Amino acid sequence: MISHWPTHQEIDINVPISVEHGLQLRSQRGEIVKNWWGRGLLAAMDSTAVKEELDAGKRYARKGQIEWMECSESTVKASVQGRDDKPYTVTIAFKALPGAAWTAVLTELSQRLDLCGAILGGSMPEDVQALFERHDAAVLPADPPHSTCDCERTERPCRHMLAVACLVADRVDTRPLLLFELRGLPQEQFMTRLRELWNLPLPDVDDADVPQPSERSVTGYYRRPDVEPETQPTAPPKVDVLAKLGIPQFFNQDDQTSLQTLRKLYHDHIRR
Amino acid sequence: MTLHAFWLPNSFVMSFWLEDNQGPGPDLDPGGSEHPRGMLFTDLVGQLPTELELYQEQRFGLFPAADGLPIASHLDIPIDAQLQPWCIDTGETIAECVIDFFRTRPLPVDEGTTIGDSLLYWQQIAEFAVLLVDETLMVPGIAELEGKKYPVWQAAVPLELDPYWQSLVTAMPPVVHALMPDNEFAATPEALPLSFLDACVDFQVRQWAMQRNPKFHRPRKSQPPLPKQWLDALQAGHFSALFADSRRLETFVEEVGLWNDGVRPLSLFSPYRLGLELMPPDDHDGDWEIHPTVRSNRDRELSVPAGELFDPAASTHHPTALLPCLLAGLGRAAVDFPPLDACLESVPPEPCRIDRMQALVFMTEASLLLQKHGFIVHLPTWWEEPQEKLGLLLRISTPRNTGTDRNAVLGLDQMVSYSWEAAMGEESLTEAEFRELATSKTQLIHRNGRWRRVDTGAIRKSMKQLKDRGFSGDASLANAMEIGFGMEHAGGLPVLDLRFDCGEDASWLDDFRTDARFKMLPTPKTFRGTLRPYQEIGYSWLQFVADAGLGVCLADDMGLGKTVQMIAVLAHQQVNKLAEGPSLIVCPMSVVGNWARELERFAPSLRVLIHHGGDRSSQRMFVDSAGEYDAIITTYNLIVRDQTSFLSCRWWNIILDEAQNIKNPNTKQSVAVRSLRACNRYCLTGTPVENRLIELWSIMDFLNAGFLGWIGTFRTHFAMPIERDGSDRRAAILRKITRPFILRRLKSDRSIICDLPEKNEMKVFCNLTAEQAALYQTVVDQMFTCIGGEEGSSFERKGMILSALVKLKQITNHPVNFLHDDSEFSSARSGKLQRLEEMMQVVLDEGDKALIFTQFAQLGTRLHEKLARKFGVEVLYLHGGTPQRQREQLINKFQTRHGPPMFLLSLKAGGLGLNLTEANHVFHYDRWWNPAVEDQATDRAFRIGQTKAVQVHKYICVGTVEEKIDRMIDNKRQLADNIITPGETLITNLSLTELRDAFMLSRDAVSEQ
Repeated sequence: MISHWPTHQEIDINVPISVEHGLQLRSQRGEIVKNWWGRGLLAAMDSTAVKEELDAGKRYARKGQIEWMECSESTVKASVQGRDDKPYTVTIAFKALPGAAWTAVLTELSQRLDLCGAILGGSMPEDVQALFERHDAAVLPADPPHSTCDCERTERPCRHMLAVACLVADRVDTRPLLLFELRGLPQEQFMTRLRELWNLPLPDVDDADVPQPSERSVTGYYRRPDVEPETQPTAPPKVDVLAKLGIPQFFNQDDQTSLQTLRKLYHDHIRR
Repeated sequence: MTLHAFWLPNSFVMSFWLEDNQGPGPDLDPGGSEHPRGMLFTDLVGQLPTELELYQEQRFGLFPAADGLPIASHLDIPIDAQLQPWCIDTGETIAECVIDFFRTRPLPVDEGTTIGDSLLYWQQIAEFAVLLVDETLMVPGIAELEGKKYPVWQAAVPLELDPYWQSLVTAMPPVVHALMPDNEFAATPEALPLSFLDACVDFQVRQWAMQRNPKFHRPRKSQPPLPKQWLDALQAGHFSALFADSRRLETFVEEVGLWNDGVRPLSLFSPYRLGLELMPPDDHDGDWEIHPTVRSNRDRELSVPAGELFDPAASTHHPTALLPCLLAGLGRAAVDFPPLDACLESVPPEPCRIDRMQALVFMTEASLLLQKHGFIVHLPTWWEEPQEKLGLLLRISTPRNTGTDRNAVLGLDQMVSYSWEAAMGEESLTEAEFRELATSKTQLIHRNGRWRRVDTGAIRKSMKQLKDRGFSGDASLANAMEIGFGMEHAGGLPVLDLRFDCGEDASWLDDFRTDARFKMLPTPKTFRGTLRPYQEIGYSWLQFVADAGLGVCLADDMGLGKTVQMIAVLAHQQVNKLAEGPSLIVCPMSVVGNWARELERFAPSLRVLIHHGGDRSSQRMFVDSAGEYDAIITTYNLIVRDQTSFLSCRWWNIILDEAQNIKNPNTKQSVAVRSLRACNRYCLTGTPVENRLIELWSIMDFLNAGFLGWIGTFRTHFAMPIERDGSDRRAAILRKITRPFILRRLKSDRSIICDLPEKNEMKVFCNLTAEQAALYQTVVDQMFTCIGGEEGSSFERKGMILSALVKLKQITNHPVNFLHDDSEFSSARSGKLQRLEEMMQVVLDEGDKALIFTQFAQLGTRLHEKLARKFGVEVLYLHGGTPQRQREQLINKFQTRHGPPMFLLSLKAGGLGLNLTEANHVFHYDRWWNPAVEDQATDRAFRIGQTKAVQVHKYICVGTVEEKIDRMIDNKRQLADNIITPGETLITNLSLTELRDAFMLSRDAVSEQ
């Protein structure tokens, strides 16, 4: 059982003040990003960095020194906790593509459902890069973005900017639409503009018509929503969970013991 | 005061907070960071059970506020209220205590405290978790707490329970999120209740694991592989995190997630999912299509085809979220099954076309992966259905019957040709088709307008093996069957069946009634009586199969008239001068009399000799005189004792009645019976022979020697696999090869029911034992001494005759019934009792129920003990002394479907309100000599509500006064059916000569040797 471990305040002056529930990189070792566009974006941001600052930035991002981060209209704003009591504010401003370029790119994309599907599904085939290039545009920024930080370090980019850069790259790596946003196409516009290109009017049903879990409304804050509860089945179905799921793939092929253990756990439970 | 509760999913902690909503609101200080209505931890602790072991914490939470002050939870909250953060004093507890708390109804909270909706909400979820765990609906998974990965038990929510779960999710009061305004759990509404549900499930399983194995500790020293760590941690009473390098750990977490996703609640992150529907082509070489659709997680009926979403008019009926779901879904699905890329090659998306091979990959492998990744895959229904079995047939054919040797039509030493054939279900395949299947590149075959899946690997293996061994050949039938059995799995395919293809000469082996040569025979001219339709079929069949030179077994249910059918055959042979010698009827002692009477009644033209009893003819006389008879009745015992007599004749027919008497093939009588020489062999039995394998072998071996092979071969090939291993296939083959030789009709068969009268009365003729005969003679002698030469109908004379009649009745029942002593009540002393026991065995075997009537209470008591002990079943007994209330209990007991099978009644049943329609047999152990009384008794079973035909068995001892009176009543009945004179009256009015004739014991009465 979990107990509350006391938070050990770091005493070493050279380490930043720790942040509770800070934003962290998913990768704790090795490369930060896996995909070409994530790497490309990171390269654009850290190409001029000093190695020591870059390492410190990665360390910060991995430890969760970033308290919060917002992205809007090509600009990322974040708060990074360093050694100073007060966290630093970092902004990274990307260069947006001109509207005409986006129109041309989206027009071609609308005929490439495979690419749309991939992008919506969180990946970006290299074809996308070629597609941008056909319209004299690039999906990745060619130059380092304009970044600021209110820390007093002399190195630029500083470790705080680089920490945020790592986190941006980490997020973009699984969400290409975020990259589009940084390049000047707000995420919600991606589908809206494609629908226009496909001549699909906005539907007369709202997404809200689909039953959704209750919104956090203020008026009913303390009440259970007035919804008709489904009656709980008196005789729940008999489902053999193990039979339904089959043998876990992650058990070694010739590891019979694990499978037997798993079966026994269920069997013993049924006989309880 | 109102109590609120918050679940903290990141640390598995339940946090309670007490709000003071009675307080003087306006005086509150709006400036502070402390919640102005928040009560202190010390106040809270008093309200809740100590078992919760609350500890103090301080948390920030968001609460609706107006003018900088929180609005008390019981008041209406204005729409313009804002959420404002305050610090609150909470009492917190780790999960395991809290579940017991929530399982208590009503919640154990101090009186005067209002229970907030948040508590009721958690209570509902905790109760749902209890239900799931009770049904073993949980699955191992991994939870992330404070950055570490913990193996945990999680809720498995099957589809049927999903609506309930969804309604729970929707019923969440927003306040439960108060403590975590920025927490990512807030982004997905289901995540918070699911986290608590999982915690409740995990706790219950662990609590049980602790009880079962309290000392379990996962090994600490080494770092075993992740699956082992995972399994160890699942059995421990406490959490322990997984250790591995982060990448391996991530991969493992992902794999576990993919595995258990199939039973986890749906729609965690999206209300829609991609559906993929596979449509097979109508012909063998056409393209298969996968149609993409968008389906709703919340409304299982909803399925929108991709094309509709791209149709400007139709698309307006669907929410915008469907389109990105379709495109992103297809994009991700194409990773699992690359051909799906083709769907997105055009605008609008097209169904994806794939070939047979790809379709097979889709159905076997990709569909599983896709389902694991959250897509809904629809495969054609035939894919999931059990497939028609593909296997091999061994076809056995005989050369054309030359007609010279009638006994060589079929026997295990007969030379036959055999050939292998492939078959799909019932349908056999040509060799070309089989070869085509073997070379087919995929397992999907389109045949006769339908798709099927076949195991081409197994076909190829079988092909190879058959090539090596030969597709066909000649062998003895025994060897051919050996080949069939020897290749139980011929290479890869199972051997489905042996088929006999014996040309037109033996096509009756499959079904004699469809055989062109089978003809219904007319009832023989000399036969006195009417055969029922099924009896005509049976009698014609007995003759037909005998003509083919085969021995057969008639195994109709008791009461369907096996004896009568056999007698019809004998009469037929006599009339048509087919018989070239006498027939030998071998039966148990108890039915010798019955055979004699039935032969006399139905075929009086047959000359019958009863060869038994002490005064039976000697061997020399027997051999000399046998030829003068058409039929000779004898018993199994005498077959052994007078074996030489019987061996000296060549019999035209040998008929074994109650053939179960040779069930043990090694007994002397079985050996003796098999040694007899005969042209035709018949067996009659009422027991289901096909289920008693050695008995079946013994009977078959008598009928057609060698047909089922040597007993040892039979044991290894049939008896052991069927009885020990439960091999259905062997049983089916045995049934198949013996079916032509056994005719068995059940009285419950639809066609038989139509032919049977609702009430089927039969006389059961029994013999006296020597002891009974001696007693009988004594009583008769005494009676004649007493009445002297007196004629007429004086009162005294009547009295003496009636008294003698009662005594004689008792004697025919059992000596004990007359002697009134404690001597042994054994069946060896009474022909009737012997017969009753035999027939009761059949009743039990057939799963029927019987009423047994006797008019003697003392006999009833002895019968009751005897039957209960012999058969080990409960026998109900109702007699004159049974109190009314107990009578009702007995009747009710008997009338329940699975109630006791035997009901003994010793009373005059007439005038009693008994309703015993569960019975379908009525036995009259002794006679009333008054048809009206007997009919009344019979009618207990034969009443409105009776659905089965009722068989009435009236026991009569042959050669005694019982039989004489029975005849007198029958004659009277024929004269004037309406005026029925009781038998007693008839008897007492007889003249002296007539009386002597009636009481005299005839020579055939006794059955003892």
